[in-house]
Amino acid sequence: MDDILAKIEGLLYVVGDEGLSLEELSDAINVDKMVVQDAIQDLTIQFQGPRHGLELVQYGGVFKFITKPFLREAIRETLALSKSRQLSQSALETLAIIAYKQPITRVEIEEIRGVGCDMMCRKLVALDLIQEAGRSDAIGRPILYEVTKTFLDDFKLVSLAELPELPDYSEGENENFFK
Amino acid sequence: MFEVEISQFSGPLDLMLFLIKDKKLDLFDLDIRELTDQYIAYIHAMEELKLEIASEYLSELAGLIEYKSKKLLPRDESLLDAEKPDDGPTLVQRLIEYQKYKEITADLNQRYQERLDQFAKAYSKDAVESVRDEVNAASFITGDVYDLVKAMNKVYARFKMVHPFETTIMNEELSVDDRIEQLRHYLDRHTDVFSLVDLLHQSNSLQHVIVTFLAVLDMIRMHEMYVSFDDDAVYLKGSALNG
Repeated sequence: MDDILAKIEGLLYVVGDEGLSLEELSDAINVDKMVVQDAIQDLTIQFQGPRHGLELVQYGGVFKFITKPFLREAIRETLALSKSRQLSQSALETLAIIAYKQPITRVEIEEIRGVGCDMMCRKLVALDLIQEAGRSDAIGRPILYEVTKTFLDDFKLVSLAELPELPDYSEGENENFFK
Repeated sequence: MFEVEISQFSGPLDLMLFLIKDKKLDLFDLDIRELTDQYIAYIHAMEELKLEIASEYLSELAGLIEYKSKKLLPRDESLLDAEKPDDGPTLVQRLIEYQKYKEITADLNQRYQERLDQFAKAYSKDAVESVRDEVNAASFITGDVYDLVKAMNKVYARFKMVHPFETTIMNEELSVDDRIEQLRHYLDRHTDVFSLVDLLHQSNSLQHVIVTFLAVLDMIRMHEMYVSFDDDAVYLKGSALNG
């Protein structure tokens, strides 16, 4: 088993932020997926220990090592990183609508937001946060959008099933609505 | 007087929600007349400040006035009967639906901020280079402009990782045309496939990276270069035109 853990660790080191899926790991080290799954679990627990600066995560369907949160200042200072990229409120709203309702056309997003989203959709495509998911059967066959693996990674999600539940306002209470 | 600016709202629905909250209106028993008056007052205030008002705000205003006028005008019985049961979602339904997504963005942003504090390393450079040799020339010219933009972002990010510290300022000003000329010579010497990353790695300043990138785009347009995409990697090759 130690041998398998070491192989997984090495492979994940080389691929870095690209990560590897369970299938890819299983193929790479020629071990059954169940065994890899167990090994991943062991490795995850081992790396949770205080002597490790990395943690093993599974975001967007792939396993990868990322640095632990407490290292952020040290890393930012060492690499002289400037402020990291922020998403505007409009971008977050658009992403939320796509993530919960995908696949969805631009017009459907606009109906919910009440504002034009053409530029926003293009921008999110360029940021690799959303992608085309074929065409709708509606008139003009508009593009359908869905979120990408990068989105899942950027929002710490293994899959869309992990999205927090949308608030439910069916009770119709004003107090709940405006928290 | 309102003390907020329209730019802090992400749209007319956001503004309406603000007004409902600010004026303590009951969303679930909404007084459309009151909301419309508040909304108009807000738009007027913006106009007086000579602030640009996006067309979406005016289009929602038209909708509000229509709702309001329906309430004010005595209705013809026959018209009432003919009223379609489904005019799409009501304003209140739209506001509730919008609020759901607006509220969840706080949670999503929290996740996003947490993730920004955790770093992964890039794919190991040696491994990338060995994969490059396997690229099949038959797959040339695939992908679209967005693939190129995405790839460029990745290249730029990696470039920054390789040159993370401040470097001296270069005075050399190179035009895109000059760079195209240089690249033509480069292609004479390099007839094999090479990656965009490698090409840009030869640049020692951001300006040089950008000029090179523009030159590459131009040469692809003039069919002097072929481009191919393999996931995030971009490969280039001189065309027969060149030579």
